[in-house]
Amino acid sequence: MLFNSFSFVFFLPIVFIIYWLLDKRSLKVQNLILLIASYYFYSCWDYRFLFLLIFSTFLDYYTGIKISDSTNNREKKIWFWTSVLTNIGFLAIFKYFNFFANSFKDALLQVGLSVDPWILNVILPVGISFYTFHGLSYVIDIYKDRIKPEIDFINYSLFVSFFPLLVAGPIERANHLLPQIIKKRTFNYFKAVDGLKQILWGFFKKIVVADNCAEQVNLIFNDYSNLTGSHLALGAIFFSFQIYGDFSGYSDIAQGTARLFGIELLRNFAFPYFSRDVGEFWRRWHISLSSWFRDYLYIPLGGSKSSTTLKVRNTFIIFLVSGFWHGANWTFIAWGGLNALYFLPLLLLKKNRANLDTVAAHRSYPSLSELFNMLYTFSLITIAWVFFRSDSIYDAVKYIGNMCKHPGSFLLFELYLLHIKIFAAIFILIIIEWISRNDRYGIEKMLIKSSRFYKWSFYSVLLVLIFYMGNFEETNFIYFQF
Amino acid sequence: MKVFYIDFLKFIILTILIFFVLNKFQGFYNNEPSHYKLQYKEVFAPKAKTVGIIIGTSHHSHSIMPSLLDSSGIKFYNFSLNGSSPGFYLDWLQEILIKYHGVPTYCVVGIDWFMFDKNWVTRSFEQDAEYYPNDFFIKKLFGINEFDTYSLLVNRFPAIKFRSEILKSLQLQAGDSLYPIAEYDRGFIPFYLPYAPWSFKVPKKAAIFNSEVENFEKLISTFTRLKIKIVFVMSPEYGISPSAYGKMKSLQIVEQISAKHKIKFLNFNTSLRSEINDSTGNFSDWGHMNKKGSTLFSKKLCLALKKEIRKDF
Repeated sequence: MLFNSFSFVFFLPIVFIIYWLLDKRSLKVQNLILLIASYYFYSCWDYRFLFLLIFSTFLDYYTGIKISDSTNNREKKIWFWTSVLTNIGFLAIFKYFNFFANSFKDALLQVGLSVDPWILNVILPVGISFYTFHGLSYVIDIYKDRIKPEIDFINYSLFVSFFPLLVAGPIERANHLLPQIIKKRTFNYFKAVDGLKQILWGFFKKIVVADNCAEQVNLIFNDYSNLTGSHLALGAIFFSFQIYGDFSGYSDIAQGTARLFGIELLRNFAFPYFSRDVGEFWRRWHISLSSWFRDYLYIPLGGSKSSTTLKVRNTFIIFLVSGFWHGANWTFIAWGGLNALYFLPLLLLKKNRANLDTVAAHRSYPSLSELFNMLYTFSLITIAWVFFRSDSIYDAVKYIGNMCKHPGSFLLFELYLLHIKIFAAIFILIIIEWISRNDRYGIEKMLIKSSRFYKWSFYSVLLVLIFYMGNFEETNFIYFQF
Repeated sequence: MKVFYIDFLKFIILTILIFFVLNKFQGFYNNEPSHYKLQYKEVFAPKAKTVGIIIGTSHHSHSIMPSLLDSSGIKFYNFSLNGSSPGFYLDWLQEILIKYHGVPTYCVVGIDWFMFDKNWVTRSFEQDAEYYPNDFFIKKLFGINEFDTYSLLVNRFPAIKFRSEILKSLQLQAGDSLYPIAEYDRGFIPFYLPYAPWSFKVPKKAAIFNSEVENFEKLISTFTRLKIKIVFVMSPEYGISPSAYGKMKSLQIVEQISAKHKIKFLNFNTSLRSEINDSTGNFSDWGHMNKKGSTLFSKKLCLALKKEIRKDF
């Protein structure tokens, strides 16, 4: 089931009403309702993969208890590696098997050998990268004695499968989400309204910004060899906003939905396009994944407290793995590598943590240098996104090459007129997010001090705006494929 | 909890209210010709008993003036709708005309060389949901396997139907600049397109969709079953030679059907071709006549109806 589908419009209110109708009952009932709803939500996509999800959940649940109960290190290790290898095994089979097989074939072809590798004819289970990482972090935390295992299977299953985060995150941590799950939730008016607001803003980003951009991005990327540089630059910029609107829109809807049920999810985006350097960008983009890799990969490898060579190695490892996590294609690895290259000078010059605050935190406008830095960072990120969006590295390089070779004119009025709706959508997005950059999401505190009538009127107008400017094709969220 | 539900309900009501206002606004200010509404009003609730009807595409709604056919002795109403195909008229006939308007005695069936090409004649039954009376719309909406429910719903509300044209609507222009509603007469409406040489360039080709040929045959069979006397009429066009028409497969199919059912085919581009065809002064573009052209043609058609087919039509 997609968040931007008609079925979700019916699904969410039904679950919401049943859930709060039964809030006088026990916590178990509350969690059970959410778990059933989550499994239904997932099975709407493909019920067969529900068994994989349940198996993966049970495996981590069981191994978690076994690790905790182990009396000696050897036993502990055996259970730990059973869980880790099985989880990674699932990912390897469903997500990466064909990639490795084809890459192996291509490599052999380079030395004159021709093989016909066995290819798996299986679709990628939606959300596998996300729920696998949930399970992994849980097991690692138990192994490292950071948390105690959850004994109640329903509670643990809900931690893994809670429907707002099941298919595209945020990637939750047991020490953040489980305490909320094992505690009875009571209805809070302000939280519920806040949740609705965030959902509304998420829909604006997805349906108005991302889906409108997507239409042009597809046209431009599919025909890049016949278009001028200005068209290609526009295509890349549109993709930057498409992927941001799509993924952060999804995260907003997920967080807002969870808040309706009294659950607070980890923040995933913090206005990343207002970053002044790439280091800041990566602290603001897909935060739950970046912090996951930081805690479970970068720091165990030595992090930034090692020699310069190791720091460089660790940086490349984390970015390349992060790229590879996104998909089984060399383009994602190149995207990760390029971001590592962007980040490297900051790391070596010890400037990677130079911008920890919000840009122009106590001012209305940025200074010229801040504006320049933001535009510069955005340009670098946009170039990297070309690799992320392209079908192959060859296409990405050619795309960027053509962008420079035949620049055309950026002042083509007709080009802007043609995309007036997209520019209007992006403009509204930037303005609202700039105003809200100190908040958790756009529109969070807009009209907060106004009367209820003005507030609700504003939300109505925003909904009407979504209706008029939106693209209602029910397009998939980009991150569903990861 | 109660406060939340009440506030949320208020929000929904307010949104619906805004939507309602915009719906009314876009119902008035949109690019769709206003005469569709009048044509549907007539077919669902006829003011007077119409003996003869005219059906066809925009080429016929802008070329045949029913009032000028009165002297043929038959009172006509022009129900031609832009982009309508035989399949569309089959639905229209069965679902609306017979049930609401009543069976006419005569029917002029407008013929076009592109009438079997779904890329040319794209009108669908659901597209006109906006003009249906409430009871009819609801009946069709809940009819199982009848029509596309989603499409019926989307086309019912101008705010949804013309969603992408909101900026044009804000210019406060109704779709009557090309179609002057004041000159509307029994389904006919003049078409005023400012002269432009490129609009007289005839598009090259049209495909034949077998499903539309079958629909046309079914339409004719339904007319025959209902004992409606019919005549095929092809309105004058500009810029295509008679020999070119002779080679058109679509017209050969029409001629075969005409012969099979013994239906008279009045082709004003070949056998009944006249000086009307040769002057751009009679046309708005290569296929649509202007008021001058349609007046001349309607008179000619009236004579033809009287002279050639009066005895059996």
